[in-house]
Amino acid sequence: MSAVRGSVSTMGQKRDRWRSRAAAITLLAVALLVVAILAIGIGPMALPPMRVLKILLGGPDGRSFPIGEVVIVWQIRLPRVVMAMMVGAMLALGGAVMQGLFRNPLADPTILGVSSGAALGAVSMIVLGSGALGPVALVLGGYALPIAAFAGALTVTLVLYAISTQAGSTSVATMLLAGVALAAFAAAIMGYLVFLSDDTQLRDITFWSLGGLGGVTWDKVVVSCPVMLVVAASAIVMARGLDALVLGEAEAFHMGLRVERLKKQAILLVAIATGLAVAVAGIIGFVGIVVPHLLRLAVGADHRFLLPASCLGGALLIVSADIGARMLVSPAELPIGIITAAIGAPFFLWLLMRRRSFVGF
Amino acid sequence: MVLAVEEIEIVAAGRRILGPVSLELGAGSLTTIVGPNGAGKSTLVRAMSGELRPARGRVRLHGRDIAGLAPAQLATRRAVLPQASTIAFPFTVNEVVALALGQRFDLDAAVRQRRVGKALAAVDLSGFGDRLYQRLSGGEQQRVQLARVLCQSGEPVEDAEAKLLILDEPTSSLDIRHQVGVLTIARRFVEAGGVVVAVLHDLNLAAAFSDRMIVLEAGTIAADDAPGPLLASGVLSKVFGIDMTILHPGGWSRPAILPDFSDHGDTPRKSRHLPSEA
Ligand SMILES: Nc1ncnc2c1ncn2[C@@H]1O[C@H](COP(=O)(O)OP(=O)(O)O)[C@@H](O)[C@H]1O
Ligand SMILES: [Mg+2]
Repeated sequence: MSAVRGSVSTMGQKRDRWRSRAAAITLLAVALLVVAILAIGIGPMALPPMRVLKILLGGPDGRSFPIGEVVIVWQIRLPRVVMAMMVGAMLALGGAVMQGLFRNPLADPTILGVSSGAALGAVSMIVLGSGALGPVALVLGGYALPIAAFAGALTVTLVLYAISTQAGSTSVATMLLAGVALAAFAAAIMGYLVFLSDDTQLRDITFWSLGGLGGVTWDKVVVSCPVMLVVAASAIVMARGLDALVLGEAEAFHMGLRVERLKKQAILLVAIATGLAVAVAGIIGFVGIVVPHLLRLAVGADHRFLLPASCLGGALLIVSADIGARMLVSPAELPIGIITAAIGAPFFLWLLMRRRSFVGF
Repeated sequence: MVLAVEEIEIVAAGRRILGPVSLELGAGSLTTIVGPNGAGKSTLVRAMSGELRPARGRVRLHGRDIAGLAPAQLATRRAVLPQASTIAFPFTVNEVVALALGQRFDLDAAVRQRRVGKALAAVDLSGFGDRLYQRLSGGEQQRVQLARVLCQSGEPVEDAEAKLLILDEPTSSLDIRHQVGVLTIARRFVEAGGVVVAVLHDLNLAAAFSDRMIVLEAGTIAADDAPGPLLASGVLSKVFGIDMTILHPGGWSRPAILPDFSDHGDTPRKSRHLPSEA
């Protein structure tokens, strides 16, 4: 075992891999920009992409276009698209980090009930915010809903992790079944809250269970987007740690990682990302499993690439799905969760079937 | 002394599964640990690596209690090959080996790449860098893991400190040529001043390559000696419950072990004749 051959070619191929990764990131970013401009142009008052671009470049107080068009682009459609991007990034990032934490590509915040936990938190705040949770709502103000969603997501993630990992190794079957049970439990409590709620609350709850980006304003963007940016940045700092964790907790420790600290950070990050996304847009399923998986197939599993690429890919998917949500039944709007589920559920099944013939999955 | 294990006891699920055990490993030595399944070999090496905290006693690396060292400090001084590793994501061989340096923020990209290439060459996998780890055979995966461990430890001696390699059954799914290859790598590591401790099942490999053998039985050390005297003492027959003949083949510098299969081998042969006569 001492023959030295081919070490030069490995370096060349490695450079190729980095180049293809850079290309993939660029491609995603460009596609996101294009789709975003298309998304801003689409609606009851359709605007051609070049015009959208010019209005955007003209600024929110631009005078060279009719004031109506400037308001529609800047005050109505742009905040919605920005929010769609951020929500998509959070969903995909939450999925990718959760898969790294559980060391399994089937882990997903929606499938495993984390989103249900977040929705339960949000719904509890809606229904009980004027009653039992009144003092909390009063203290937290506009942040009450996202914080309640975060608390729900965190609870489910912690319980799930405690149940499905023992002595550093995760049981896939236990993880999936525990996720099903937790989602069902959250649904049961939500059902009870629905029973307690009045008509307006009921409409809000329906919105939360299917997801949607209607009614997004700059105010909402300003509340949640800074936190989302911080979440995305801190995920990328965790990338090398998540890479090390891929081999197992003991191995990661042997290689010099502070495993417990990384796990805590990852759990917190999954809960914040999912909680925020759900608080803003309700339950939007399957983004967290579809996007990271496709990216891994395309350019590899290295988290330093996967995490930023997932943010872009998730954003691209949600902005596109939101176009579908607005166009398919216009002038009405389809809940966006229906669209992602229609794409994601068959994809998940395909993944399960592939898994049977794939070693070590 | 590079590693000193002082009166450690490991307790799991309310039961003492190891100890009390004491031993010392000096620079330039290859020690193998042998013993029946469940004797506590993996437990002992996991305690040596800092992964398991002893309920009593302590483990010192270069004089410092490893319980007080940060994971990153430990990682530059000792590397560990675990018994089995599966990966659920499509990582390439290069990426798996490079994980060894993932927490080393002090190294630049060129150094990383050189170390990865060198480690892969050492385990005879130079052309495998861009293959997917999941698609390799069990033996190839085990060699990739060994390359990762070699990549992590780097030079056997750095800053006048000997590095420690801990290998838990490094040869379990390898063909005979690569078994010898792995132990040759270990041998070279200790000859350059490093320290290796390996759990092995193959007694002949252990006797041929190690400076010292430790026999574990039910969580305690049953024997601890150089291979020659240890084999001569008959302790292996006693611990494994199998008669063994010690051979001294002409021209070999070390003795060989031949377990006596005849008692056990006869039984199935007899029973195989029975049904055909019935
Ligand atoms: N976490 C644990 N909880 C309970 N028993 C354990 C644990 N880890 C190991 N053991 C037991 O300790 C004994 C030694 O295990 P181990 O060190 O893995 O043996 P081996 O010598 O085969 O490597 C075995 O009987 C095993 O069942
Ligand atoms: Mg063992």
